[in-house]
Amino acid sequence: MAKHNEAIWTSLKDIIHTSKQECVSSVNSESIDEITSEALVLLQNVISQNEDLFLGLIVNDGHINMIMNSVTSYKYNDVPMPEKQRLYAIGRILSVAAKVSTVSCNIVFESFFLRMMEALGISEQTSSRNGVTKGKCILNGRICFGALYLCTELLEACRNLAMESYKEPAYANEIWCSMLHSFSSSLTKALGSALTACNEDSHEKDIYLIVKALQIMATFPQGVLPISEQVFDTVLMTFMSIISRDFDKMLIWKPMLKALVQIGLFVDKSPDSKGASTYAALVIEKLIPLVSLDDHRMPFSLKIEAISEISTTGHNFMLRIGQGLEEAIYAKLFEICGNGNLKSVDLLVQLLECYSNKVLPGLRQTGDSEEVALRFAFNIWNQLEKTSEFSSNFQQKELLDAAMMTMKLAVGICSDKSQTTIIQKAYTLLSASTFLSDSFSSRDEWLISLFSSVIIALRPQTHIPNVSVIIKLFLENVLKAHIPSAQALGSLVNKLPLKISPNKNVSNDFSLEEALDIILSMLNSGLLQTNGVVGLAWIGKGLLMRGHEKVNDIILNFLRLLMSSDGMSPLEDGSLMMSATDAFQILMSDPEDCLNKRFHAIIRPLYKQRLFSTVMPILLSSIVNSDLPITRLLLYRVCGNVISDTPVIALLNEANKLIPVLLECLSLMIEDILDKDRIYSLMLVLSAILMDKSGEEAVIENAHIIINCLCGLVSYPHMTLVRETAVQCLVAMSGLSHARIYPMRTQVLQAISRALDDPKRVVRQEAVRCGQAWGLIASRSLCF
Amino acid sequence: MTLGLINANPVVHAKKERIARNEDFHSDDLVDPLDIYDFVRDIRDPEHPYSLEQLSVLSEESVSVDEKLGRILITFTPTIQHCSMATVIGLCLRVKLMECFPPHFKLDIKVSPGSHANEESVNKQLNDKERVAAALENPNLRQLVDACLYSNEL
Repeated sequence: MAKHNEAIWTSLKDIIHTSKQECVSSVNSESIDEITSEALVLLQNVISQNEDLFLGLIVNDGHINMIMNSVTSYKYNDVPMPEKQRLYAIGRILSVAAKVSTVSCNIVFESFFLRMMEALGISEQTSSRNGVTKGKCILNGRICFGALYLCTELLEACRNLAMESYKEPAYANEIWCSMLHSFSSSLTKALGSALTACNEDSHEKDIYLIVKALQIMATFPQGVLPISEQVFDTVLMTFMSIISRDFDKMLIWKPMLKALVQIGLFVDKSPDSKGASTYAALVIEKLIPLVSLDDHRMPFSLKIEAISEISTTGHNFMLRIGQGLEEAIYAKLFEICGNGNLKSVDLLVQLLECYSNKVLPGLRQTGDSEEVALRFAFNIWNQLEKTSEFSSNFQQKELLDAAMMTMKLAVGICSDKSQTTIIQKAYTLLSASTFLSDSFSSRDEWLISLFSSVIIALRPQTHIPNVSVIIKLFLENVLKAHIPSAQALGSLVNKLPLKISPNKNVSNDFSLEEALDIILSMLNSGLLQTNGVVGLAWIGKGLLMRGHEKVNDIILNFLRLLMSSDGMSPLEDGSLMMSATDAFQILMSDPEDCLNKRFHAIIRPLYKQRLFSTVMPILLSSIVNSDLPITRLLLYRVCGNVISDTPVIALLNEANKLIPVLLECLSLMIEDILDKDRIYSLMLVLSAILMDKSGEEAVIENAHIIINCLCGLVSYPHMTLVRETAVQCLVAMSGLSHARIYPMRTQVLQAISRALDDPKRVVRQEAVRCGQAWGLIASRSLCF
Repeated sequence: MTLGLINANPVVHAKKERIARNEDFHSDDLVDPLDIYDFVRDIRDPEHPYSLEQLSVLSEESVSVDEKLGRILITFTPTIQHCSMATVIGLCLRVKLMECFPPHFKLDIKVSPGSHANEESVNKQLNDKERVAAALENPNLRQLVDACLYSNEL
């Protein structure tokens, strides 16, 4: 039997040694090939069946012992590749062996652990010595890669063992446990000093290994041997000192932050344990003051990054960090009210963005987010109430945008009852301010913008007091070109109840019909101006999304504007018509900051398809019937706006009619650089039609004009993506029937030869593919 | 016409890792040697099912380009001194580069110094327009070149 064991051991050893996979990767996953992983599984099985015999073979293996005795290279780069492979193989073998059982772990530790510690120059901690001798492997604080790698593998293995038998911590008396316990403190100190000695010249794999070893030490099951609380504290303090001090060493900082997050996730699993409270005290409570202090040594963006990442470690930690951020936000707001400067404004923007992007969404998933959100919204309104002077800092658009988004997100989390209290608070403040009809001060803008944000985020069932006054206020501001007011009106008409239910006992409830009466009478009265059109567009969007038929009247209004030009000067005419064109873009858009699911909008399925099928026939017949070139141009632009945002599946049915329109839109917009995003959207639609099987017939019918248009777009100077997409579309066209496309081959190859000289690499590479595709459709004959 | 392969046992090396290029949105991307090398590294050897890169016939260092003058210079190293496939390899390189670059680029294709017994005459042949055109009119040769260039796609 022993003979068989030896043969098995030798074969397995060979297989594991021939694995060429990299073991220490900076991404945390170890990817080894299938054969090696199966070999390791087999090794584990045979060890568990014949523990003594197999462990004896491993422990006494000459090869392994030889490598053990020679792991003295300092850095990852100093270890030659073949030796690295051997090292990884041994590491895997020892790791597997130690994980099998407590007994095997003991044997492995007894045989190898002390030698690893000796190689690292670490001795047992005693009361008199700190346990670190400047042995052969510690030079200027650097740690031996080979010995550390093997040590890390053992640590991970015994940690896994500890986790599995956590419920019965009988391992406290085991050999491996007491050995690790006696070295843990000095090992931690040595690793800590090695980490501090690292700099930008250190290899990332050396750094990764040291961080990993410390992380493993800190993630042993809490409160039980072998890792004492003191060691846990030391690890956290080491990490935090690097985070707050060595922020210019990105190679160390980033892995450190990741390790802290992992430790946080681990301790959060047992939130009442000592580990969790230590983590809170040593990490969270040290990070929070960083964002409040005006310490400019550490870049603010890094502070925010650290706080954002750590906030994801657990609910309680997220709550505390949220609280800390709130306080910092209020303090900064107060500061810039007084004087402050652009720097403070920038910091406040970053704080608000962190709160919006990390804290609020993170809390949203848990139960107590409403309390936090309500408190935040209220405190902001309180602060605005106390502020009489709005310094010039408040004119920064970025700041207002960040504040609006945070307010929307906070209000959006709240229940309908809480939302009503927020509206009441805000409305009280608003009605106490006098809005002069001509001027629009900073204060006015802030108050009305934040009020719009509250309205935008309301749930449909929330009761809104004084709706008619609010609507009139928004309408006045719409006519002063205040877009958020227009969006707020859109949100209102999207969510107001259609009719007041006679059973409802709530007074002051307002129905949609009443709201629309007020809005449309004010906007339609007299001459419509550009701002009014924008307002109507947002209102139309709100109605379109819920499927209310009043939207049709609004759309007809826009079309009438496009097609009539009597009674106005050419200048007014032009801008009014352009607004009418752009209105369709608003109708079809998917805005991030309002009228979406996040802010409780009512969305009837397929609303865009319905608009498309209603409006397109009118547009197409108007184009045919119109006399003025300017009108045709505008109608084509409207077609472009509608087509680019309609789902492709709706377009494919009408592809035959739409392709010529699409191509005409492209050719009309090709001159103006401002249209480059519109052109790109239309290109995406065209490529979707070309790629779809059901569009093939229409594409073949129109192949000639498509290729003409694409050949022109291959040289579009304003946007690389347009040129790239045009070339890709030409590649797709090369797959059509030979008879249809062969006549255009020369034209395409000429266009492509210009693209081969494109200033952008990605276009040149596509052009090569395209040239090959079109070259293949004929016999190969190159012209010189 | 020799029977059998010119070099029956070539040394095969591992393929180098392909690096993804970073896109710089603000400035133009100049043509650099790696662009050119990416086009030619996978051309198949006429005799063996390996690429020119794997047989160390080509390397990134053997390519140079001057975008202002519009010149590309490639040197390649045949696996043995008396390799009669050298002219075919050179032809493959020329055909591939002509497809991948606009006509105003001048292509100089040479064997690396000292790597071939008839270095001078091979270089002359590879860069002679008329002889190249004549070679490409030969259907057998054309078929061989196509196989070297496009066997990846078949």
